[in-house]
Amino acid sequence: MQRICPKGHVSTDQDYCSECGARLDGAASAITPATAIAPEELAAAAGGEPCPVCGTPRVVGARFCEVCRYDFQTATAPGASSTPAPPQETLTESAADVQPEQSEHPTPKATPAPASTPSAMVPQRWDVIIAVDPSLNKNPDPAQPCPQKAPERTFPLDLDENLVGRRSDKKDIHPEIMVVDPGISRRHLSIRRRDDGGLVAIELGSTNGTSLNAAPLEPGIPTPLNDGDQLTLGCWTRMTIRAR
Amino acid sequence: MQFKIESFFNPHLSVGADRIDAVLTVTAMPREGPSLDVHASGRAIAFVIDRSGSMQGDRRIEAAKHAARICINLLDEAAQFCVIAFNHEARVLVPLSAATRQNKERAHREIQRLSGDGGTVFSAALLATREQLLKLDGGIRYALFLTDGENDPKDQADLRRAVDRCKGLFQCDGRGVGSDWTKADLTFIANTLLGNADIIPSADMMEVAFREAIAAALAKGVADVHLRLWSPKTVTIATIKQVSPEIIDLGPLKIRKDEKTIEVPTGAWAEESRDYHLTLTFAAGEIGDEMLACRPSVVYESDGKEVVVAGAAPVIATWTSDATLATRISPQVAHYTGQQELADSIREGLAARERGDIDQATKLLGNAAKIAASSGNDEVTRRLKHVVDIVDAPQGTVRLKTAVSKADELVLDMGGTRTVKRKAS
Repeated sequence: MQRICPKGHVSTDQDYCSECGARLDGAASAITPATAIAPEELAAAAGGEPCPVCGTPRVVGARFCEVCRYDFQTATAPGASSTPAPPQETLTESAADVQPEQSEHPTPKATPAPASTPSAMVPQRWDVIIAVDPSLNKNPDPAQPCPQKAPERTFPLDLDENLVGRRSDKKDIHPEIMVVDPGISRRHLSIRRRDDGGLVAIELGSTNGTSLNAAPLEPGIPTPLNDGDQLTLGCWTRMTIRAR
Repeated sequence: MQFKIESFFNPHLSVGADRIDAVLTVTAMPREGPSLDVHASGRAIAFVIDRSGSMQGDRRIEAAKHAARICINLLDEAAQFCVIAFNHEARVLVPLSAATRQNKERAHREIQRLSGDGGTVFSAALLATREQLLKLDGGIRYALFLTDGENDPKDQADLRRAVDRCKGLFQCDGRGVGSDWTKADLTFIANTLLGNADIIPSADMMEVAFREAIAAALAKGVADVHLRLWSPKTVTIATIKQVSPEIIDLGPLKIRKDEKTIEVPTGAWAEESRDYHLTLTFAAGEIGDEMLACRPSVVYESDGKEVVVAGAAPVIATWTSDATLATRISPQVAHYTGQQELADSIREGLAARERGDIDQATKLLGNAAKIAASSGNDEVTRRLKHVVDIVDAPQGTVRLKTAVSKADELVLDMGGTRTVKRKAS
């Protein structure tokens, strides 16, 4: 149905003119309480809420009173000592071991492979978690201090061969798993995947050697790795094997 | 997914007033009952990695390889992905393929082989990305674009053309690692392709930055959402800006559909809420006149059908002689006017600092610190602290830091337009 608006246009809409927007005769106004500004918001916008200490109206959004520094957020009078912050909980070694660093990152809703497939059919996938463990640093060298609070790093083990070592541009060595630790050789350790998906570690004859669950690895001998196994190497590096 | 539109404005104009400001809040929330439209036609993710010679420095290439490999392992098999490495030319390491175990394996091998050399040509990278992502018909197409350097000056014209050819086909976030890249190029790519641009100050922050970008991309459920604004011919949409979560001028992106309708592409949406600031101009009316200035709606496609969410949130203007009514400012509009002032203070403050005008820089960045604190904009406060020491936030007292790296400056420069929503009073 077409209507004629107060300004003489033909409108295809029933409430406001489809040509000029003018409200049509008899149409209800769309200015409703919902559109209008709520009174309490207006009060705030006008700088309402007087300061309980000195009575000065609060500046919109301001935390403190402009005049006497009253804190509106915590409702504390100026000069009052704020409550001391609760002591920070220190994480023990074991609690800090695996997860907390991970959980800080938003993890996308990605699900691992469907559990319905029998595990025997699907080769296991692995990650290695690299941590700085200062307790491994038996003979600290002041020239090369152990990094404090270095975050754990997770490396995927999705290649057939993963070299663990130090990068060297000069010798063109670019390990898949690059570790910053002065006690680690450029070619230190190789983590390889067997055809059945299992992992083995091969110590490559590094200067300072590698231990698997505290037992030294013999150079050149492939040693199977299992979920949770710990490799320690260099001055302070602890690597944990994890199935995913 | 379903959408809700709300509008906030003061409808009462004083005699002779010829403009109205309104804030539109668009919220996407899960639909009640079974949801069918969530990435029904799939999702394609591209990793676009700079492998120019400079990436060899500061372990950047290793960090990029590592971050990409970690993120690829986070994809589920329903997603498709591709990997493109570029220097002066683009190389498709992994063509668009389903994120199956075999394809992920292949990606791990191909990515790990990367090393840095050669120049930097963005246009080649974008066109190669476009070709791969277009293999997915419909659905949500996304690219994460990483660079550490300036685009080849000879490529600037081609870059504009390439971005133009990608426009509307996929979304792209730009990340610059280190501080030798150009803000203008990265922002141009990201803003035109409806993504965001940011700095990764050092290589060791690459993994977290990649994870966050990919997590946000994977959260998107509806592709190609448009904001449609209908206005009478007598009304002009003077400005249209996104004001939350970040200030982006949408003026250059608007598409005129007919003489009364414009549409603004807003890309893919997750469960989220975004705010827009509209300024509408028109001829002033008589006292007592009441005029419809704008009917906003949201438009997207679901199962090949166009869905229009009209919402009862028209912007109406009425003229009054009551000064107390007309001088009120909608709290939402006031809030975003403040956030705009915050962004402007940072931009101008950094410019003043650059030309050595310490007094002006201190004053402007102090004002920014004050607004950021009073509006609860913690993200901008965090970024401000890279450049200034905040002595007294409510007073706007700051001290410029003396040793500020280029990266610190970029942290603030790239994030100065982040906003917060208005806190309910």
